[in-house]
This record gives sequence, structure tokens and C-alpha cells, in this order.
Amino acid sequence: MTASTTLALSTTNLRKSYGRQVALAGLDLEVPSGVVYGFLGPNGAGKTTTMRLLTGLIRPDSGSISVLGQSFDESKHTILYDVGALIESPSLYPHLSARDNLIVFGATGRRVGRARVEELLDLVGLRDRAGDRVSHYSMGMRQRLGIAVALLNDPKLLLLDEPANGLDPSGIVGLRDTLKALAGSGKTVFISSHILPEVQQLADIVGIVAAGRLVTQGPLSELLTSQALVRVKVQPEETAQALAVLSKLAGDGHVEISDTEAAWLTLRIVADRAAAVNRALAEVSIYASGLEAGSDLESLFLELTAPPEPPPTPTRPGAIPGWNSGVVS
Amino acid sequence: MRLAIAGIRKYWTRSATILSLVLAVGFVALEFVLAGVGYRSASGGTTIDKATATWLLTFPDAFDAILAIAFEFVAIIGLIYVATASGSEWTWGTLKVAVARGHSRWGYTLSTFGSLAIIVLVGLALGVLAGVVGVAMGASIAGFPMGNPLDLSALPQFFVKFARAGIGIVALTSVGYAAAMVAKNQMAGIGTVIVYFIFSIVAPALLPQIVRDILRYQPFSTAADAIGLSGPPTTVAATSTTALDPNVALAITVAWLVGLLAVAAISVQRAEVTG
Ligand SMILES: Nc1ncnc2c1ncn2[C@@H]1O[C@H](COP(=O)(O)OP(=O)(O)OP(=O)(O)O)[C@@H](O)[C@H]1O
Ligand SMILES: [Mg+2]
Repeated sequence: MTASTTLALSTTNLRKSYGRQVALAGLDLEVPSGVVYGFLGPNGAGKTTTMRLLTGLIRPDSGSISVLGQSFDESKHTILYDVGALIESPSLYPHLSARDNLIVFGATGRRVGRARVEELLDLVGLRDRAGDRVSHYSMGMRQRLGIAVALLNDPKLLLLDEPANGLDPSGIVGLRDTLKALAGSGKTVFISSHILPEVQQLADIVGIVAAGRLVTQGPLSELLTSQALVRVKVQPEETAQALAVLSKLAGDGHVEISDTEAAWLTLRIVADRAAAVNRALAEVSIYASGLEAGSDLESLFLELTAPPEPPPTPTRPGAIPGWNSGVVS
Repeated sequence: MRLAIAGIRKYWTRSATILSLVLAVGFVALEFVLAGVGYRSASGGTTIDKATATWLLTFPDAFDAILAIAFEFVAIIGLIYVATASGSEWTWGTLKVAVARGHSRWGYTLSTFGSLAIIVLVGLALGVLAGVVGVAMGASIAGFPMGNPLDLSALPQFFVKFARAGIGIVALTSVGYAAAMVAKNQMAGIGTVIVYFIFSIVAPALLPQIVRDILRYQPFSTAADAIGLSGPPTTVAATSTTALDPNVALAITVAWLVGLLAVAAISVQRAEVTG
């Protein structure tokens, strides 16, 4: 990011442990104003911990935080008047209605008027049930209300921790439209998520965190370009020759023969070069029977967050391969 | 202030609030009705003698009896109620929302206590009203003259004592509040409060004099002494030690209130809110 970009949020070498459990091991984030920033990482990577630090719920062991251009610590809690947050699951008064929850929370922090409460009930689609007790709500309805609470003070910076949890398709579309509209009006949205296609549709910038550290950060389009893949299928007996030809094109180590699908080769090159792949093979009279080009966040995510190779252990019968791969222990 | 008002909105619809108020009111009224029944059936004069019945069932003396009994029930129920209601700020994670919205932690801690204190004071007022009704019922059951509850000359003194009882009740409920805020959890708060009761009410009878002398400075005891009530004439309090001077007791009670609120506020200020 250029120095002239104003940052809505940044952290420098942020560290936090819970007892002996390290949650953040020196996190450096840079979130420019007016974007949707997708904050991705496997379970236990430190996403929620980051959100808690950004809202003064917990204190960092070291490192610094800057929010909306001001250096932030707990003593400057009024900076949070311009921040809205939904951290982990929505926290609500179960015996109160949606409307009363919004009114009661609206009495904390910066004062919120009744008109805003009604506006938000419409926005999150809870108007018809606004008078019902929250304890009678479905999970998705609570999530919608949690999002409304985060939006109460029309925040300049919105922090959402897995906001799509439990939302139905129309809720997800509504959320996406709302967040895009907010970013369009100059607000900044910082959103953690596991739903990668959703993030791919929504985020301008992504940061991927693993084991409490940022492993990559940048505009989504650039990251995806760097991650581009071309897959090509040849006749089984031509695999070795194809590997040699394509290695010259893509560079050594950038071509792999698939272990799972016979005679498919994967090249790590930008999608635009699919035609060049085809041409190179044709020159040696190999005609591809299948060709795919593209890139996706999921493979980037899996690659960047894969833990170091563990020593081989016998797999338990019935264990799902890779199931534990993202968990930091 | 607006937060304390919002706090009342969030508490008064809660079933724990309604249940606690109903229990407090019910017990106080019942106590006087039972006194009436006791006096009547004890024509032999064994359960309740005439002097005690007069203290309990005839105004203006009955005001002291009403305050004493309403104070005890409202204190016990209020202490558990406050621990429950404030502990659920942690259990539900709603404190987290207030902090993340930029509210100062100590401000939130104190105004939440303010709302709860107002509810407990309403409980005390309702308890006293229930006591007046209970006295009327008890007196009529016992066939005893109830005197005049609207005796204007007795009222100023009654209001002073009511105000002292109110301060005492608020100080006492701050024990439940501090317990819940330090424990950061509803059940732990309630548990602490129950242990406190057993310790302060049941245990003294079994403990040596020196411990009882110390225990009369604990808030339950000072808050009761601070009201400055006359006791029932026949009760030679076997278990209690001599009461403190009401003004000294009031000062100690206020000190407890301030100290316990400081403990609650400091503990919330330092807490890691991860719920
Ligand atoms: N309250 C806590 N007490 C102790 N350890 C905690 C606490 N909260 C989180 N941790 C630990 O900190 C690390 C990071 O947790 P965090 O909740 O920030 O992860 P996350 O990225 O939000 O994961 P998820 O995707 O599962 O929500 C984990 O190892 C977790 O066990
Ligand atoms: Mg999380």
C-alpha cells in the first residue's frame, strides 16, 4: 500500500497470548479506508482475538493498533463510537424484543435515536418480528439482529466476525449488498470469514492469517493472479513428455502431475497463458483432451495456511484426510 | 442517566425481576398474616405474647416491624437477584457489546448497578406496602387493634428509617454485584452470595464471641443496625451481639457500598472480556 493511502485500521507487531496459548504472534495489518477487507484464516488462527483487540475487549501483550487514524488503546474508548462490531456470536438480551435490544444497546456508547432503530429493523428484515422476544428467534434472526447492533451508530469502520453465520441465501445477499453499499459510501468493512466464494465476491483486499501471523495481504485480484493455475489432460502414455515440455514453458517445479486424476497436469501460470500451453503441446503432437484455466481463493488459502508437513503418522480408520490441517495447536 | 433508564427497561421485563418482587412482597405480607394467625391460635399465649403482637400488629410500632421484616426479605432476595441479573451481563456477553461500542467500563459498571439499585429500592417500597396490608390482615385475623397507619406524627420518623433501610439494602446488594463482577459469571456470583448468607446469618450462632464481635461489622449486620429500629420487646437476642450505634453503622454501611462498588469497577476495568 502506498504511504498516501489513508488507513482505516492498522496494527504493528501485535502480540497476544492467553496464558501459554499464543493467539497472535506479531500481526501487521493495513486496512485502507473505503474497502471491504476479507480477513481469512483457519480455525484458531487468531481472527477473533484480533477483533477483540481492535475493540478494547482485551489488551495486547505488545504491539500497537491504530483505528481511524488515531492510535488506539483502551483509554481512548470513545474512538469506538465510530466503530461497529459483531464479534463471535451475537450477544443479546434474550428476554427483550429486537427493538428493545437495539434501544438498550443504543443507550451505550454514542447515543442512538429511535428512528435509527426502526431503520435498522427494516434493513435486516426483522420488522415483522421486532416485538418478539429474542429467545424465540431462530439462529439466523439473532445473527441479523447482531448485525443491526453493529450498525447502530452508523460506523465508519465495521468489524464483522463471520457475519454470514446462520444466514439464509437471501440474508447473505442482503448482507453482501449492505456491505458493498457501505464501502461504496466511503466506510470501511473488515470482515472475517470462512466462506471463501463469498469473500471472493465481496472483498477488495484480503489478508490471510495463520498461526497468529499474516501470511499474505493485498488486493484480491493481484493475489489471484499470482495464484493462477492451468490444468491440462493428456493421454496417459504422453504424461512424461508433456511434463518435460511444460516445465520449459512454466519453469521447473511449476508443473505437477496429479496424484488423484490420471494424466492431468497442473501448471502454476496465469490463466491467460492457457493458449500457450495448448500450442506448446501441439508442437510436439500432444493434443490436450482437457484444459482448465482459472484461479480461486480456496487453493490460495489452503496452500498458504497449510501447516508444516507433520511426520507421517498412521491414519485412524475413518479419519478425514486434512481435517485437522488448519488447526493451530 | 439515560443508561440507568435503559437499564430499568432491560430489567423490569425480566421474569427474575417479577419473580423476586412477588416473592419479597408475598413473604412480607405472609409474615404478618401468620403473626395474626399465631396470636389467635395461641390463646394460651405460648407462641406470641401480647407485647410482641402489639409490636407486630399495631401502628405506629408496626412500622418498625414492617421495616425490619421487609428489610430482611428484600435483602436476601435482592442480593441473589442482583448477583443473577448482573452476572448475566457476562453470561450473555452483553457487557462485551457495551465495551465494544466505546462505553467506559467503569461508567457501565456503575450505571448498571444504579439500575439494579433502583429496582431493589422499588422492591423495598413494595415490601413495606405489603407489610402494611399484611398488618391490617393479621390484626383483623387476630382480632387485635391495628392502630392508625396514617398517624402523621409517626410518618416523618418512618421515612427517615425507610431511607436508612434503603441505603442499607443498596449497600447489601452491592455484595452480590461485586461477587458477580469479580467472578464474571452468574452462577459463581449466586454461589458466593449464598455462602455469604450462611456465613453471616447461620454461622455466628456457632462461633465464639470474638468472631461475632468482628462479624457485626460485616454489611448485613451494619445495614440492619443502621436503620435504628426498635426490636420486639420480648426478643432477648440470644445470638446477636449488641447492636452498633445507628449512625456509626450507617457510616460503615456506606463505606462498604463505596468499597464494594470500587471492587466491582476495578475488576471490570481490568478484565479480559472474551465471552
Ligand atoms: N478466551 C480464550 N482463552 C484461552 N485461549 C483462547 C481464548 N480465545 C481464543 N483462544 C486461543 O487463541 C487462539 C486463537 O483463537 P481465535 O478465537 O482468535 O481464533 P479464530 O481465528 O477466531 O478461530 P475460528 O475460525 O475458529 O473462530 C486459539 O488457539 C484459541 O485456542
Ligand atoms: Mg473466531
